[in-house]
Amino acid sequence: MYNLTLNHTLSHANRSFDIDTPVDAETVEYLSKMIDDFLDSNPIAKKSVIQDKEIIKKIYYIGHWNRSGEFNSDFKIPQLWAPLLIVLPPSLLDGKSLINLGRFYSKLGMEALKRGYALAFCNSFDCHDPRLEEIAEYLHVDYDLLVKNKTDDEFLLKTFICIGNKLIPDSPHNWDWTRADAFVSCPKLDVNFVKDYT
Amino acid sequence: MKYPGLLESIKNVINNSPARCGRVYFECIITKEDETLRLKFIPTTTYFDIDDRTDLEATMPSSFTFYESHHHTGMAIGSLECFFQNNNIPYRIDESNSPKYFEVLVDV
Repeated sequence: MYNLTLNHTLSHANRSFDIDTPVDAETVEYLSKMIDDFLDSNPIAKKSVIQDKEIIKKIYYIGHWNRSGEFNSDFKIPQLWAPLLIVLPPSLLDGKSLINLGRFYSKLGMEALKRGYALAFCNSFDCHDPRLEEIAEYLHVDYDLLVKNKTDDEFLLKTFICIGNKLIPDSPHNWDWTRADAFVSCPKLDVNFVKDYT
Repeated sequence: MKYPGLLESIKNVINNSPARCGRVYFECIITKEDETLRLKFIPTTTYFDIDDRTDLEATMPSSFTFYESHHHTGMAIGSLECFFQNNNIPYRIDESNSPKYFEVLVDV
């Protein structure tokens, strides 16, 4: 009776994008305007809309935090290789601001889905990798301050939105181009977190 | 009931809200007062703490867990808002008790 399709799609990370087909300019402009309007009334984050393939490549290469300390491991986060990356690093870290930022992420993602694009969210990022310095400005990172202050377990607080066409049309969302296989998914923890007292 | 079957769809949307690696970072308490559904979203690390798949993240800094728990809670609310908008169902957001919890209210 109710259309749940887009909500279900929103919850599944698409793992393989067609990096060579850019997101159309009108969509990029629309999403960018959505962000501007949101941040005008909620100045709680900064804005990066990244379409430069060379910058995306650098993000992709340092997108996985390897706790062993190894940089550039074989394991990569496949969805970061997408033609459009949006990241809104929070400038306010209180709970209310972060919840409102999360609300906006879903709305931004839903707009991309409505326009026929595939979508993934991604929190993974290796801020220990010194190559971060090369792209710090695109992620609103003060690299010198980060190096000075960070602990062994420092983790940049940001979520990427990866947008583009699927690499293989009609393929499952979890098809992983880096392994030519399905990405192993984690099912949601089996607990009763939605409690109905009606 | 203006919207037959709505409650089950709402629970479906919330249960399927975006989550990194299947994490659960909030509770949703659903109550009904008169003809209004009240959906209370409460950020919590209760379920993160019992998720043994997170062992590799045992030393994840608390700043990240705080960020992710609230961001995930917001994404769940945002997903539900999109569901209401896509299905032309009016709703209201009550932020007056945030960040302890956010409420989504729907007249049914």
